[in-house]
Amino acid sequence: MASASMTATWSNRSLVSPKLVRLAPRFLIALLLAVLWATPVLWMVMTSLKPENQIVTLPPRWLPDHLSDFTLDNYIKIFTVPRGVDLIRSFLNSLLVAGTGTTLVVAVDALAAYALARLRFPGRDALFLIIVLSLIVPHEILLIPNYITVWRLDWLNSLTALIVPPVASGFGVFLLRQFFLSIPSELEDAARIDGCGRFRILWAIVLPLSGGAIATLAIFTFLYYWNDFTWSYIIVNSADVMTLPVALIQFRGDYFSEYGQLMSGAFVSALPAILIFLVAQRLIIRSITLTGLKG
Amino acid sequence: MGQPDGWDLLTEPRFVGLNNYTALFRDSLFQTSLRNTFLFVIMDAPLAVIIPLGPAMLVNEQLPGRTLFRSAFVTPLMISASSVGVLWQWFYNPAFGIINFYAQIVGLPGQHWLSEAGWATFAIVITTVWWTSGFNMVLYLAGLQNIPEHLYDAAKVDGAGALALFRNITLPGLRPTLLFVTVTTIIGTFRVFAQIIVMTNNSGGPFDSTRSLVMTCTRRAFTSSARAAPRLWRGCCS
Repeated sequence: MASASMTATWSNRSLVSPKLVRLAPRFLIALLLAVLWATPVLWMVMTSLKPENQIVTLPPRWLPDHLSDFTLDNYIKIFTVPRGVDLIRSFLNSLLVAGTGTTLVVAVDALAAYALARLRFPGRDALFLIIVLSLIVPHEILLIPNYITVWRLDWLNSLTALIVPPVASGFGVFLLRQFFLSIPSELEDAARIDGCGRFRILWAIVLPLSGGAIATLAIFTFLYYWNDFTWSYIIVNSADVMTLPVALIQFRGDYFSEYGQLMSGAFVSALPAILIFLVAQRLIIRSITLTGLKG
Repeated sequence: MGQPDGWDLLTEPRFVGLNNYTALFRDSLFQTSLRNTFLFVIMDAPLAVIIPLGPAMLVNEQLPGRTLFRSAFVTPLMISASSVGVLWQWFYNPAFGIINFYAQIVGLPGQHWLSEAGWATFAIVITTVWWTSGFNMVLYLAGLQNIPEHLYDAAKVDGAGALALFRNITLPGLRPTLLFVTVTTIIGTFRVFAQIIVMTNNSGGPFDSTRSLVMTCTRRAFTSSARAAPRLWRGCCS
């Protein structure tokens, strides 16, 4: 036994394994593309760490005059200097809107999805079809009707107007319904025999098994709320209701731009999303696979 | 003559048939925005669909640093539209931006990217592709992982090369994903708005060449009187 494996090792030994030969060009190309994609982001981060007077230079330079010029000043300034836009307030607003919105969306969509997947009632399939068809409608068509609705509800310039309207999206319902369908119904039948009511089944059995799909929906929804610009731009007028993307535009004056603070603001606002992605990227891919994009 | 029918949103609406639509299509600003948006879609959608496929296949493999590469492609997506717009507006600045800087180093002439009618749309397309590639890449990654490994193994045993593998296994296996990605990308590209108003300072670009449909929609809705309300509502249904 031992001698056979030793012989195999000896004869297969080479300085450069075939796997390395195969992977090296792919690695280099991936590296090149990744560097290309990351360059603007690197520029953004570099800028955020430079003192303001060294940012816009002719010709443009990556590094400041001296390495010691790198500073966290911009990050401090965006939170402390008053300019009619409170970045901390906007950050918290965004957090509130995104957090509440995501919770609401997941709750509503899970209930709807379970009903569409497991309950039988007249018009169920027609209802599901309508919900799916609603996904075709781009958000921009709904800008004006929603604005009118929000105006009539007296919600203009309020956080409620930022949280509630996106809840009416069929995306999550579609996603979760497909996933609920793939859970074996034997589990639920067994629970029913034991006397569980529908809500109990949903809460105790189906939801725990759907961790992946729910996490996926939560992440996509959070990112949507966090980065939403168009709707927030239209609805919000005053600084205390602003969300982060809208607030960051205010950093750019007509005749000058405080790029350092702009970039640090942009980076700070991207951080939560980046962190969430890093944590959840495996989950997302696995979840999408489980819902079966194939066919 | 196609006078727009006014509706002040407070009284009962009046049924006027297709008058609103005809007035809309006769409106020159709408026509310009329609043309601009179509041009944008034709330039952006193919790039946005095809380009992320390469990186997706690359980071699908067991490469060292794979997570870092994935993050590099997806991070732009995490940056909000306004920040992306400001950043790239600076890049495209003829004097202070790094694009002209590196172009001149390589020997190419620098351009007035955002202020020349021909280049403005192209510049915004490049920005948009950079920004949104991550989304399609993640979808492709998921689709690729759905393709059974044994298909590749069987084909390799039969002596298939990389191109044959791609053409006969990867592409067919990705068909549902490709369909989903193509449709959502085209739909999404028609909705281009945020980065344009940021990068062109809400001006419509040189000679109105980057004024998109949604821009016209919102400008009509929120700056002029309510007479335009039904018209622009129709205009947004595209």
